[in-house]
Amino acid sequence: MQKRTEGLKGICITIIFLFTFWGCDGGGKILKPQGTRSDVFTEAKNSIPPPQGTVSLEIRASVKTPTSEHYLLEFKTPPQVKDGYPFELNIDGQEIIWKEKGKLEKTPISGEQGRFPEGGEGIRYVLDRTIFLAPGPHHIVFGLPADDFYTEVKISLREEEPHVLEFHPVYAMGRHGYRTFFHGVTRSEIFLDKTRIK
Amino acid sequence: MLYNLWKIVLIRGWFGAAISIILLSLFMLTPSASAGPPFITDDPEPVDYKHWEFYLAHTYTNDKNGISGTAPHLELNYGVIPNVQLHIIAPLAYNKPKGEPTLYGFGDLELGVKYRFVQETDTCPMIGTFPIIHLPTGNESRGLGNGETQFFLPIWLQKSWGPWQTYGGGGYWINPGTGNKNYWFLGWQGQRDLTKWLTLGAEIFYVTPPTTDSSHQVGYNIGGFINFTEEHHLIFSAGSDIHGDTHSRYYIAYLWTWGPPVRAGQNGK
Repeated sequence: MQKRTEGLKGICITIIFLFTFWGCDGGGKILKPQGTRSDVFTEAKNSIPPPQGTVSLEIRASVKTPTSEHYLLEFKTPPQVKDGYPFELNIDGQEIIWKEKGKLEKTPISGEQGRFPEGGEGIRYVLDRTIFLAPGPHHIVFGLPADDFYTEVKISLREEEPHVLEFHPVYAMGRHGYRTFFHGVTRSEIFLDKTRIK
Repeated sequence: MLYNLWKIVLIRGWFGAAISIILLSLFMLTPSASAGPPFITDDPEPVDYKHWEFYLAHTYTNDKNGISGTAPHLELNYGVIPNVQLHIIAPLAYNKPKGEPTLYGFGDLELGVKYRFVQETDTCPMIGTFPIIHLPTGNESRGLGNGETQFFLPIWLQKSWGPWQTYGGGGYWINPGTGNKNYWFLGWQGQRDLTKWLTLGAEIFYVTPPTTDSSHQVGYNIGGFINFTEEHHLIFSAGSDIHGDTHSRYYIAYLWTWGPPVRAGQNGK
């Protein structure tokens, strides 16, 4: 009996720590917003200039995901991705979801200083769309529903200038702390006109 | 600095082995925490630059001499510069020889430096070394320490193919003490990502006799990783000997990984 006691002691300590740290990343998670408006922005098509009283805002994002065969026990193709990888944008309550087709991409796994977060074989999805909206302050929520990831930022757009808003994914850490797209997007960095704003 | 450290490890290792080969050691009763968690076989991949790994772990080994292990041991790894990791294990060890009471106390401290000198490419595995030193901080008379400084000089290789990963290699243990012998460890491991949160794998290893009265050991472990979040993990393994004295063993640990965020495409460039 006593010989098991030492082993159980270690297991108990491990379990206590597990429950202590479980969910530490959950704080601050942004809930998916509701789209209730339709008068905030219009999508630009065919390179037309912005209508009077609006400015153009180019939305760029690029994300790499594992191929459907990568994970043995997960959906071969997640339902959200069947007809394109969804990029979700909500500005001041108006929502739009763009579904982009992906391309197979195989890149080197690592360089001189270690693994590349996007190294290996996966599917590359690129978003590059332009919208027109009024200059001034806006509250933006950007989401990747297939990765259950949402982030928000407040921006202010100056008049008569085209703007570029970029979302750069930060992937989750894998073994030994190396970030890899195989584990999905965990946060993002946001740039407005090449200046990091989040 | 690292080169000098490497030189010291090498020089003192051989010197220590030469002068202490006749001293008493209870290696077979000494719990050893050295491993590439959750397996005994290690890999050449250091913790990412400026990243940390913290393990709160427990080991259990039941062999012909009794039961031994750690409860718990703390392991800390840090990526001090690209491709180099510093490593320490501080164990609280237990030892229960057959028919005797359980002994419990601080075990042998483990220090190491992992260095990757070949990067993985599509056709080439990554290659590295992970010299380790066991300092005799545990009480030898109670079976909680080796009583002598031990050194391990290995070479490890690793290769990935999508969701599959395999690593292994081997090294030479300098194991001073009367009745002790220097010995070789050879091991190989394979694992597969099953989901984003679950990876399972297995290893097989071979150890030449570490004492004059022991035999060759061939053992295996099956284990894996459960990722609760990107920072918090449960890792585990269990196994036995195919040929040798260990009836059963297991390893379980909580792993906390943290470090600065790196944007896609930036890491390593």
